[in-house]
Amino acid sequence: MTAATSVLRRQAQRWGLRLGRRLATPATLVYRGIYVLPTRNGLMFAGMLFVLWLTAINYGNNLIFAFTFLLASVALVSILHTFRNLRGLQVTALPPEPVFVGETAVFPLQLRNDSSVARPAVGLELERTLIDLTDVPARSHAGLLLRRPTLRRGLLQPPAVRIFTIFPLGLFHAWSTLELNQPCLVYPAPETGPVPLPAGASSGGKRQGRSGQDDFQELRRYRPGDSPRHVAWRVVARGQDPQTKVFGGENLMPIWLDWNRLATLPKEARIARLCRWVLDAEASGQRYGLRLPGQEIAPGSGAEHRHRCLQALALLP
Amino acid sequence: MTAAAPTSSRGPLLSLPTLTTLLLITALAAAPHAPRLPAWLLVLAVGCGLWRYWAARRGERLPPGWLRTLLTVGAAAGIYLEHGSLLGRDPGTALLVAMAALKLLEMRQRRDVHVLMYLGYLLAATQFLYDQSIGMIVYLALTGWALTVLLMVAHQARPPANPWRHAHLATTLLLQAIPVMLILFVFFPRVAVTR
Repeated sequence: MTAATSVLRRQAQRWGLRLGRRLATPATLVYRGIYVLPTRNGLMFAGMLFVLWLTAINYGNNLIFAFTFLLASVALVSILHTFRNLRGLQVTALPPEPVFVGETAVFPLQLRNDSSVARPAVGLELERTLIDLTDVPARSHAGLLLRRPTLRRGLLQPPAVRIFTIFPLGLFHAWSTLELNQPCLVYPAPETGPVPLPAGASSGGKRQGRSGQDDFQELRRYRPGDSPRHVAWRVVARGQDPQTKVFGGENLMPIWLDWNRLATLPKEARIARLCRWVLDAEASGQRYGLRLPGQEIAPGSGAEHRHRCLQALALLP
Repeated sequence: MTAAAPTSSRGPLLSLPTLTTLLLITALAAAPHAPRLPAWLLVLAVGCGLWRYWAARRGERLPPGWLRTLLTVGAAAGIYLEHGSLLGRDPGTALLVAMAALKLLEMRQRRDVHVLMYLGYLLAATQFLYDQSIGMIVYLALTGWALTVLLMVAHQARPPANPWRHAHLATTLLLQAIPVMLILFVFFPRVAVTR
């Protein structure tokens, strides 16, 4: 008896597992990962066919029989077309752009269609709600976007979504469940209000009245993220590789944004303030370093550096 | 069901070309029934079609629910008075025409569009109760094809602007369906009705 039930349960589990089968991106939608069920409209269509069938029987009308069976066959054939509209489609989750808490995280998906047939009306669905819809032309690709609100800093894992289609007739719904393996980095929300930057390491003095652009030192190769104001445009105009002007002041006096000097604030408030300082320091073109418990980011500047600092703040436990 | 949001906030359900095509094809499916319909029903059906077209053209609101209910009850009562019943061949087809005409005024959700398409199929099929000539078979096969083309467009959450975009696919579907239909036609059990 118990053996029988356990076999049944195992069978049910196997079924549950099968029905819940998820593909991890990047994924090719394969035969065994696609499910098809009739839509509500499909059931309504079946109801209409039933009425027609009864009419045909009642009047013994062969042409109505033929018409009914033709429509039924069209519906049956459409299952294959619905299925084929997804099968072989390659879905890749692209890395989302980092956002700040409160902004909307956007998870892009790329759909690649290597077949010679277009795939119209392929959509993205979350908890049975349509999120996005697109056509994927033959031998081409298209994109779908999943937008999620962000409530906490850190890594935001996207929920499992469904890629689905009801093309061509809307009578059947084919779908694959996908795990998107690209979390979105959510930066902390910066503190608002007036929060002056801490003074430089050598505690002011020389800082006053210096714009940070006085002491021209040298030219170095341009690195992505360098402030456009510091690019040596004359060099660029001569057709040479872009160079960035390096100023003595910047190199001499990095600001240290230090976790331990904000001991009076609660943890999240410290993070919010450090986040704001990173943004302000970057905006004013200064070099800045970040000291956090257990890690230290050496002074620098530029988009890359800003990202490293904000990432460290976002991922603090 | 779900609260009917004003159409303006979501945009029209169907583009004007698609809606026009839908009206024309519904008319195509209903037209062969016309000679047997009472005059008032013809006027009602044509009136509803024109009203719908005009409303879509001008972006006007569709008639309120109470008016539709009134027209529905009135049409059913009229058909009953005409034929002494709502069942049977003649009152049945008359009722189908009335339902399709009034459904035109109620296309709020995608489901309503579907219902209209299904009524179109029923209208086309029931014509075989009256006329089984080769000409009519061809005419109704074309109507069925056109309805299928439209079904491909109308169900989509974002219907393409061109209603004929998937016409060739509808042809493919129908051609692929014919062998299956023949098998069903031969082997599907038929209940004999003793009269």
